[in-house]
Amino acid sequence: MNLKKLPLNNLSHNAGRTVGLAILVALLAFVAYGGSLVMSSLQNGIGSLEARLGADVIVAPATAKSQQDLNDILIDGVPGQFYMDASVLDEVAGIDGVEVASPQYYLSTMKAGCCSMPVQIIGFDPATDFTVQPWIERTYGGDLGLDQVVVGCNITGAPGATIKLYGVECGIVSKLEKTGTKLDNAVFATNETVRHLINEAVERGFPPDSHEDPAMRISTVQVKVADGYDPEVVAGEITLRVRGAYAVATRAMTSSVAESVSGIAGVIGVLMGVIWVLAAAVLVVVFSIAGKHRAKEFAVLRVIGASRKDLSGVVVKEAVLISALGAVAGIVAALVVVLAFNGALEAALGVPFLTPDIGTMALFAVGAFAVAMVAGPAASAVSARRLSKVDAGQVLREE
Amino acid sequence: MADFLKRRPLVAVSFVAAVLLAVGALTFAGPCIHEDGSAAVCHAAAHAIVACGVVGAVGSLAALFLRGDKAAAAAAVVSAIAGLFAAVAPGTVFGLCMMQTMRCWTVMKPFALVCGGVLFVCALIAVIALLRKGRGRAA
Repeated sequence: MNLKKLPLNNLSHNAGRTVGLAILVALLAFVAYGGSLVMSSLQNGIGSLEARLGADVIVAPATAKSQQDLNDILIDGVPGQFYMDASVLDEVAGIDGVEVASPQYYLSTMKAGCCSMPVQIIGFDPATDFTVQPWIERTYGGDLGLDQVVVGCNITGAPGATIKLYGVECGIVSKLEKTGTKLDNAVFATNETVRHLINEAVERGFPPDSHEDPAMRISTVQVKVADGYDPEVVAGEITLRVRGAYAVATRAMTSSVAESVSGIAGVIGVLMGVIWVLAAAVLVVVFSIAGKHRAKEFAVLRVIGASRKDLSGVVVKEAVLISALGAVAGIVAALVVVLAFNGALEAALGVPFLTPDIGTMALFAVGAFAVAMVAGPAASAVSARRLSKVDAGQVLREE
Repeated sequence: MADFLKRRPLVAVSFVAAVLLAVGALTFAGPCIHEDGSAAVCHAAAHAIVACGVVGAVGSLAALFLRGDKAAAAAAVVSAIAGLFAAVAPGTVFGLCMMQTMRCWTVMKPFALVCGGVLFVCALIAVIALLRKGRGRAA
């Protein structure tokens, strides 16, 4: 007796039941794949934040407001500006354990026009910089000239286009890769360009809120610590010895973000578990109920010569087909939601969010597919066992 | 009605996607509203999405109730075009705001892409199915 086509025919003739079961499996696959993608993106975001900050220690003015502003700019992405005397740079460079010290200058644009947002401009010294230029080199081979800028990936405008900052048309020479951090919203330029922007703005009669000359004032000093030195010890030494400056190890800055990510990942993990248990339980119940309603169908098959093994094979094959259909649908849906709405997810979660590379995503997809392919047939196993043992005579007599 | 839903389920899905597109762009997935009442660049894109949703909904509704398969297929083509336009227009034909962290980039554009995409794919498959059915009957 040939039962090869029976599972497929059963599914197509009971479209409602097939779609309902496939939706349940799709939910399982969606939760497994979507949850994995989100958790991986959160982990990537933390790694990216640490890499993107670049420096081991960041030195800022010693006022509480400056420290809050530094956190706002680098972690929360709120544009701001604060300054200290440029002589701090030499003092920091003289501290034991400091290998490289490079100044940065923060300037924020004003909100202007119907759809503009304040943008953080970060000026750096090309001669000493070691935090911004390595990122620029990945997408742009040349040096930044006057009125040339590199923009974070969230700033609209492709290389070759211009962006108007304080009335000056600046050429975008490169767009940085997505890092999932708030620095994706910043514009990077040399201190020379920043000085030009300030001068132009002053000449046009709309100077920046608290403009200071980048030659005399700086916002932060980015410090690379020499091998063998502990960044937190060096940061403490700088805070102690350099008057008016406060140094923080970037590891300490990112630890609060890492804690938030850990908390969010925990909540997602629990939610995944709850949804999985519920959906799996519903799947078992639905397969079981569907099995009871199909007792007569299987009794007839038994009477016309199908073996017990054949009958359980039909149920399991149907479950495999439904699982495959649901798993693919769930994985595609999760992929679309996470990729399309990753900006909204990042905004909602408030932590760095960087989706994994294609290889990792494919690996997670295979994992989610495998899990769904196990869950569906496993849920049908009880039903398959019961139906294979159906007493054909009794069932048909009852009917 | 139920008979039409059974006969043309994909058209029914495309109708739901089109309604969701229009309602979403006007409410939960719309651009941010300025306190001073001024309209941002992206509001034109939002209006286009709403228009596509309305056209898609009318087309799908017509495809759902028209008796002739060819006429229903023609109506579904209109829905498919509306869905495709809604999916690709924001950010290309119609500009969005400057920062890609803004609501129009993070919510409205992906929402239009997903809903427009569903509308396009469902309507397109429905068109193919309706034309095949029409040919089958003619044969």
